Amino acid sequence: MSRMSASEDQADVARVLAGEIAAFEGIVRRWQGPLINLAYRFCRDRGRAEEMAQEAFMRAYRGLPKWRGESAFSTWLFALATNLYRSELRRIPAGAVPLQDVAEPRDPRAIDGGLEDLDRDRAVRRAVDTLPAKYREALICFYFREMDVPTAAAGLGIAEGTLKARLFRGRKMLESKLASLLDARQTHPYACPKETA
Amino acid sequence: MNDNDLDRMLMESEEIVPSSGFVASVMEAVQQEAAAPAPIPFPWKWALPGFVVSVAMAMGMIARWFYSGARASDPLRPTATALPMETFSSSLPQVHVALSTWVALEWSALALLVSFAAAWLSMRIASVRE
Repeated sequence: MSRMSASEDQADVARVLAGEIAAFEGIVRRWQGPLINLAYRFCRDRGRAEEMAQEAFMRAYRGLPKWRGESAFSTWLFALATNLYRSELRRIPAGAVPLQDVAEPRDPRAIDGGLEDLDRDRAVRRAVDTLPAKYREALICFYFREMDVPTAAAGLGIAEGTLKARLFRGRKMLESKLASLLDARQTHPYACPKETA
Repeated sequence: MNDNDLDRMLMESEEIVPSSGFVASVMEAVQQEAAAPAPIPFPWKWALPGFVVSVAMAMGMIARWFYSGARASDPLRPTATALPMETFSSSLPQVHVALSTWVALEWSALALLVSFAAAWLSMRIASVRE
């Protein structure tokens, strides 16, 4: 997030709190893309992603007086949205697609070459959808925030160590689910053997 | 496929573009919310005396129940067996009916009183809001 958009956010929030409701449009315009895309990663449904993002904006509007400016507006907004999306996802659980339906390589003799990129990406996404909620959420937020552990942990409201542990275990599970597609796992920089909270 | 491939696939998820009417839709919902009257705060000032009275009454009833239990188990208290048998057997149904009637009346009166108080308080609060 740029310094410019941070100051714009702050200015818009101040205007909304002063009674100029139209100023909220600036916030929506700036953050609609990220919030909808984050929602889409959670639910994989475009229409539902927009509904969830709209609800997140509404909650942000209602909660604006509670934002004290201790953290960046974007951090607060993403934490609020992530919390909403997580509860939505738990209300309607993911993993409706059994792993047997995950696309298999057309030619098992040539794993890297035989599977189309699109099929492979889809297989990984579906495998992520079948993970238990806390690991799925950790992976979604971590990769959405471009592998930034502190930001993803802040969004999820958990300690960085906890996030690292969940990422490690989530990836382990993912790899076992995708065993036929993945090569032997190499040591990963954010591997952490113990969950701290 | 190695870890980097997995990272890439997980990070490069399909991006979607917000629909053209999204901002307008959110702002419409925000405007509606802003135009809606503020929720009526709970009238603690009016409700507090009622709560206090209710708690006092509940405590009074509990105390009375304990007191009557203690009296029933008091060995010095004259019991029904101390009365002459004829008097006891003849007066028992009348006492029972009288007692039941009195208890029923007491509760009915209390229920009526509480209902009237609730109705009066609601109307009073509504008229103050107007």
